[in-house]
Amino acid sequence: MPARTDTSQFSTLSTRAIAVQSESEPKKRQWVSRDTRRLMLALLPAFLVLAVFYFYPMLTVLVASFTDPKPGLQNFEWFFSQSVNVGVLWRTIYISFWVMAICVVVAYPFAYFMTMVKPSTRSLLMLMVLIPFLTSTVVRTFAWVLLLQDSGPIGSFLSLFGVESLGIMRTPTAVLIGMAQVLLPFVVLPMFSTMSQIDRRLLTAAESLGAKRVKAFVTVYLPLSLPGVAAGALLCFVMALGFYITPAMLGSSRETFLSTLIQGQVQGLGQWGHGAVIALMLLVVTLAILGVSALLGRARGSAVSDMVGGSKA
Amino acid sequence: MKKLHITIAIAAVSVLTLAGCTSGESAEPVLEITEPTLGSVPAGVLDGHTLTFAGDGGSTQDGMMSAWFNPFAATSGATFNQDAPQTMAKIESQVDSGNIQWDFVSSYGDQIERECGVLFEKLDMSKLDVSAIPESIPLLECGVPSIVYGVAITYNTETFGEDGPETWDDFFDVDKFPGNRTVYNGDGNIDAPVVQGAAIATGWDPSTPFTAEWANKGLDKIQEIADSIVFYNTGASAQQLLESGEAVMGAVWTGRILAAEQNGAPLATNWVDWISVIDYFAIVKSTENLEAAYYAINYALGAEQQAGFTEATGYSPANMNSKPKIEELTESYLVTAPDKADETVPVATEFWADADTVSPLQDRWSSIIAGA
Amino acid sequence: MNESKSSTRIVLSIFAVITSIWLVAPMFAVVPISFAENASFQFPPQGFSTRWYESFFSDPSWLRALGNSALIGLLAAIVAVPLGTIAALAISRSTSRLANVAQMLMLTPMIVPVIIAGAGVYTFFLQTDLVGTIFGFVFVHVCLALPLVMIAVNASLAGYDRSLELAAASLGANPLRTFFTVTVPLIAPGVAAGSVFAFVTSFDEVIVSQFMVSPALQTLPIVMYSSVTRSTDPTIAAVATLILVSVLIGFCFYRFVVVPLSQRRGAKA
Repeated sequence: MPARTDTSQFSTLSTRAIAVQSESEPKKRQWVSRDTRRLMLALLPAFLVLAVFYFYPMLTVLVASFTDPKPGLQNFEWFFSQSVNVGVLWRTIYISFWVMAICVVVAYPFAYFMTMVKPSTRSLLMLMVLIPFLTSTVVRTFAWVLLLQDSGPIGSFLSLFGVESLGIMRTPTAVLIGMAQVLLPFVVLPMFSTMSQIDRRLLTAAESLGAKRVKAFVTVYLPLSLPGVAAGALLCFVMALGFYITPAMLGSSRETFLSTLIQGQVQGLGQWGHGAVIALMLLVVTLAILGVSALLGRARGSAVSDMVGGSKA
Repeated sequence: MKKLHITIAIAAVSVLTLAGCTSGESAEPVLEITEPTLGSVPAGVLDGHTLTFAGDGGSTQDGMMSAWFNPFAATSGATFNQDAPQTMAKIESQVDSGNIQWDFVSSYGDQIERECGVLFEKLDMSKLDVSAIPESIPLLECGVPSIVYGVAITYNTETFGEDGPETWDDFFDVDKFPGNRTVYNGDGNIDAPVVQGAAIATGWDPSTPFTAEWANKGLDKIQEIADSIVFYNTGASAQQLLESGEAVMGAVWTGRILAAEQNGAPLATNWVDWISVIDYFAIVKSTENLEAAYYAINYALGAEQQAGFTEATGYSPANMNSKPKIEELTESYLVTAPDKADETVPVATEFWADADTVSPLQDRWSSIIAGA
Repeated sequence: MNESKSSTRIVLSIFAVITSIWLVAPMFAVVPISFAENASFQFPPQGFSTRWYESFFSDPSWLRALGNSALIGLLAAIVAVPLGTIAALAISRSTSRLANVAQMLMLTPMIVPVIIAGAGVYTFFLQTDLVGTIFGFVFVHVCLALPLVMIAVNASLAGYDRSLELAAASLGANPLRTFFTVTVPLIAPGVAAGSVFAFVTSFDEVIVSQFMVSPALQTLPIVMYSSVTRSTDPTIAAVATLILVSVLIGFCFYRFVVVPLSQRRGAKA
């Protein structure tokens, strides 16, 4: 770790907090060991709560997709017969992917810059990342509504130059801008954490051996920073899939995400089975993405699998 | 700023203490209604009782609270809760689980008709005074009128001058009248007035019965011009779209057109084949506060209360004796005026109440509004 | 060489400034609207008034929602922090392979979209009469907060040297004493960060909460969300400004009070 007296401890902590899953080498563990019983005892309270208030409700949803209103596959037939479901599923994946791409492209130079500057600047930049992280999503999205509406400050400013309307609200662009801002901290933190552990002298060494600066960066620094990039990108992608408020507030009904569709079927239309089957599909997609990146990570020997598997620090 | 935070802290603490004290009520049974009187409630008759109403929220529900339910609560002594938005699904889950949270609601006539006796109590008309309700407003077995309004075509006069869209034909003709138009997305539910309006544009004669065939043709029409439609989700967003000019025309609730015009939006409204809609009060099946709900509904239907609601929202009074103090503009949006009645197309309540017919239409609707 | 290095630096610093603005500046858009005179979100706001703040502090439904959210957030943090801390410690000490599985399961609520469990919570709560109860809210929010608490505590364990514990034990301290004199101070920053994360998670939660609210028990984010979708009421801008100011005050407090204090203590030791 860099010197920790002068930077805000909280900042470093939070950085590590998000990144810690991507850092460590998985230890070889044994299935049966002496302390297993002690471990289970310590975990019991947390798992009791999780089991009753999280996993059980989730299970009822998955069961309902096969049984509500009557046992059978009719909900799955319905899901695939309605173009809206498949369409919104693709849209959710598509927009989430672009949010991830934007976040990675913006976060990488930002995190890199954080490793170059002096500690006081670094903690200021960290503050910039953490303030939105701790401010309510509804508040932040509402602020975007104010900014991006045609009669907002940007629109009014442009109208001085004869631009008739900004026309961003209720478009995919607005959703992208808003979601990327909300998710950016989750990408910056793991990236910074990985980068701050890279020995920058490697770059100097490569250069002194005659490599051009760009080449030295691409061949030496970039590969070393990839685990952080992968962890941040993956976290961003899967979190984006479950988004609800931001697309609903900044987009039109044509930017509806799967989450909104689920809520509408369950609470708006009372189609419990329909909502359940959409939820199951969302889960399948999420797990598929996690699974694929775990496989990729293992094949490439990077730490993506640790982010997924969550091996301990 | 410091003061502000102290205030927050004090507020938070006092609320927390209050939250601990609200449970565990054991109120006496409510005095039964023998002679219903409009617009009044015996003082203190609901002391210690809690009554919960759910509507569609927004400024309309604000108007209901200020004109009807806040004074009702003050006189009767009831603790009055409100919630929004009401949906049939939520009512269904409350009734099914026996965990009733809403005692009475305001909702569409067709939905109440469909669930009458299942999710809603059949009304005991001896406990309600319906003598002052105009004859043009039909009563339901489970419902008495709560909001009397309509969906009409309005357009921006800065864009179109005096020659804006007059009929549903015009409204759905994007070549003749280009630009964004706003229509209701039903908050996910298929919206009867919009589909009927679209059906008129495809040739449905409103004097003949509305059928699934016409509904599908109407949906085709909506789908055809979907690229020019900006759906509104709430009255507030409809109003905002009209005021900002993001939509140059719209098929919008009359009260919201009025509000937009009052805020200075340059609008002209056409009443050819406007769709008249009546929302109804209904009492949720097997609520413990049945009698209290009757008290509240009788109170809301009073002449003075209805006048107050009209003054607040621009929606028409459901009491013949109401004399709301309103200006000319508001008057021009009262849908109960005789000249409007000739041109209106009512919502085909019976058609929309049939769940089997509506279900496939609903799926098409979901797909159209999600643009997928 | 040096020239190109410094030009890279300049480009990067410009980029970082723009990104920082994009991250933080938009939130301040709520401030002018909260002081507007009329009920409108239009820019520039007309006039100046504090009526939306008055409307917030005089409207019982807003205040009740704030009180509920504060209470639920506090209770959720109080429950989640010990559970998460114990779990994180146990997992970090265990050599069992079960520990990896356990950790994965505990992180699920952060990674799997919450709407899936949320929809299930809806029927579950209706059947068990938990809709609109503080109890129900707290325990669902505990589930959502657990992963963050665990990650925060794990992070503080990452730099943790277990030989210190062994040293304490070899000097004759019993396990309990070792725990409180060695372990607790070391993980304290992680626990503190975890508490903040847990509170914020609960205080901001909308998606599952909308399945749990009842007319009598609303939470602040739910009221804000329905206000912004159903009406043009700048009261929400006033609330947003208050939240923003609270976060900033919290940060200043941390930066200028907590950090200097802990550094002084560190210097003494």
